[in-house]
Order: sequence, then C-alpha cells, then structure tokens
Amino acid sequence: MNEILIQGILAFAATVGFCIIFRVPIRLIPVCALAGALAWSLYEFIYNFGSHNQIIATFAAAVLVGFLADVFARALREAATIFIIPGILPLVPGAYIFYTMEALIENNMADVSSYGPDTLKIAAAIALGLLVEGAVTSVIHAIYHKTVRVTSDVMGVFRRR
Amino acid sequence: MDSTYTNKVLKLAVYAGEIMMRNGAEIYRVEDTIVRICTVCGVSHTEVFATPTGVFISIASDSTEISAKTYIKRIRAVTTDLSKISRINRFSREFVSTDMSVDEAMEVLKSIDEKRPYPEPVRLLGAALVASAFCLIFDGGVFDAVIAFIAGSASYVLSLLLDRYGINYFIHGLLCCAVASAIALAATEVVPGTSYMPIIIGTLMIYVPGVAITNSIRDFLTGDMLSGLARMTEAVLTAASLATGSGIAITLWHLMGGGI
Repeated sequence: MNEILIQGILAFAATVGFCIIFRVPIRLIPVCALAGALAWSLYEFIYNFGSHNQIIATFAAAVLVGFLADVFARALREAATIFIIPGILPLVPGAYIFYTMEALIENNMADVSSYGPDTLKIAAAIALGLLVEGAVTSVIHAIYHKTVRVTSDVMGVFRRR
Repeated sequence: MDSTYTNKVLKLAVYAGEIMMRNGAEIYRVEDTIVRICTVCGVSHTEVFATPTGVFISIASDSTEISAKTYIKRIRAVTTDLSKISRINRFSREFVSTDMSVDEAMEVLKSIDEKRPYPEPVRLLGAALVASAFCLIFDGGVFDAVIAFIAGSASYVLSLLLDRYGINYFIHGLLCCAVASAIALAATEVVPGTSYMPIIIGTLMIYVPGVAITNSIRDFLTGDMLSGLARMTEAVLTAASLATGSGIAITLWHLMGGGI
C-alpha cells in the first residue's frame, strides 16, 4: 500500500512536469496532477492486487481519467481535454516502446513478439477506456436532460389544470 | 447584412478556429466554437469543415446561399498550448453571452494568440521533472533519477532548438531521443550502480505522443473519422521516431565497444 502511495506521488510530480510542457494554466495544474496521480495509483493497485494484467489496469485507469476530466470540466467550466491530456500521459506505454525496440536490436524475436503487441494493446486500452467513458457519459447526459425535460412538461400540464 | 460585416465575422471565426487547431483542440470543439461565433453574429447559414491540417468555413446570410463566402485556412506547425484552448473556450462563452463587438473580439483573440508559453527555463525544469519522476516509477535509483534529470534537460534544450528551426517532427523525436539515450549510456558507464534502462524510458516519456492519442480518440468518438485517423497515424509515427532514435544510440554504443 505504501508502495502505491509513493507511485502516486511520483505520478503527481510527472504530471506537473507535463502540465508545464503543455502550458496548462497555473491554477489548473494541481487538478490535472491529481487526475494523473489517481489514475496511475489505480493502475498500480489493480496491477499489484487485482488482475496482474497491465491491459485491464490501463483500461480502468483511462476510464478514471475520462470520468475525472468530465467532473472537473463541469465543475470548473473548462474543456475536458485540458485534464485528459496530462492525466493520460503516465499511462502511455513509453516503457513498452523501449522494450520492443531493445528486443529488436538484440534480434530477440520472442521478446519482440510479446512486447510489440503489448505496446499496441496498452495503447488500445487507453483508447477504449476513453471511448467507453465518453460514450457512457454522453448517454447518461442525454437521458438525464431528456427526463428533466419530460418531467417538467408533465409538471407543466398539471400546473395548468 | 452588409458584406464588410460578414467578412469581419468570417475572419473572426476563422481566426478563433485557427488558434484552437494550432494548439491541440479536438475537431468538434473547433467546429462548435466557429458555429457559435457565426450564429451569434446573425449569420444564418454556417458550414464548417475542420481537419488537423486545415479549416474550411462557408457562411451565407440568406437562405438561397447565393451570397455564400468561403475562407480556407491551412494549418501548419501544430503545438500544444492548453492555456490557449482554455482561454478561447472562455472567450467564446463570453462572446455569445455579452454584446461584445466583432472588432473587440478580434482584439481579444489577438491578445490570446500572442500569449507566450511558460519561459524556457521553467519548461526545461518541467521536462527534467517528467524524466526523473518516470525514471523512479520504472524502478530507477536516486542516482538514475539524477542522470535522467540531466539527460532530460539536455535533450529538451535540443528539442527547443529544433523547434526554433521548424525541423520535421520525425527527425525531431529521433534526435532528441538519440541524445538522451547517448547521455544515459555514457553516464551509466561512468557512475557505478546505475542502469540505463529506467533513464532512457524516463526521458522517452517527455516526447511520447499523448496529445495525439487523446485527441484521436476524442475525434473518433464524435465521428470525425478523418482527423481521428490522421492523429492516430501521427501517434504511431512519433512513437516509431522515438524508438528509432534510442535504437540508433544503443546500436552505435555497441559498435563502439561500449559495455551494457
């Protein structure tokens, strides 16, 4: 558990770095870094105590980033991208790009054929996580707004009588 | 509606779209902002087609659309400046809800466009922070993190320099990663008890195409398949350039007889 806390703090620092590179406005940096830290902690938690599967862990963390970004975007009236971009970066499979490349140089085709697809799968897991979260949120949003409108119409009918 | 006014509106809308596109906004946000600006200015028909490499706008103020005007803006040199997206977002809300004139709006957009990013030393520190934090995340030691800090800053200095000359993105990623890897390999050879792997991974993370991946997914989600594909390709090619860069450095190191 301590290990995960440390990882979360490191991810916080890394996300602050990304925020500076991508020029996130200074008042939003803590919020973005929080999203990055929580996502990476969830990844570590699932990977170490749950499935031991980096693809499922990445998927869950990406869903969390998307969800947090939507919440922050609504609360602070900002574009969701501002929170998603720094938050998602710790999940990007930089290490796997490196492992694949190293295996290629060493002509170790067994490693290439395991790390190469892993890189793609993790990238796909990020994509799928954001997609699923985005789709679900938009459906919930649509249903919520529709029900609100329907109920207010009904209320209106009653009031008129 | 007289034609100078329509021209001004068109120019304003294109400018807003251009700033957003150049700084890493998603397609739907760009198109939405442009349509909002045109609608609030009293333009009845607006068609926008935005892609990562160009923005096309046609507006017409009557239903026959005989008077339609089109503005095509080619987008080059895309960077990521999220504060500009945030500002334009706020600007478009303000423009829609208050009675800001088109000329005033143009001034506001100009001031947003001219905003400088964080000063270079601060960005350098940011890059170094990314490199050393990821070095620690991927099981690097304290000395590894110090080397990653140095390698990250050195390669980011190179990156800023290459940006200034507008070097092609593939060569950019390749050179930055090659330099970082070379520093990592040389330093781990000299300092005992360090390993080059977490250092190279840490510095690689600075250049990883996170923006392209994120925006590509968000474009796919809103049905902008063309931009989604374009940005997905950008992400894959950038990743390939990073791998090639550090691959070249490691291979040369082997050839020169360096031990690993």
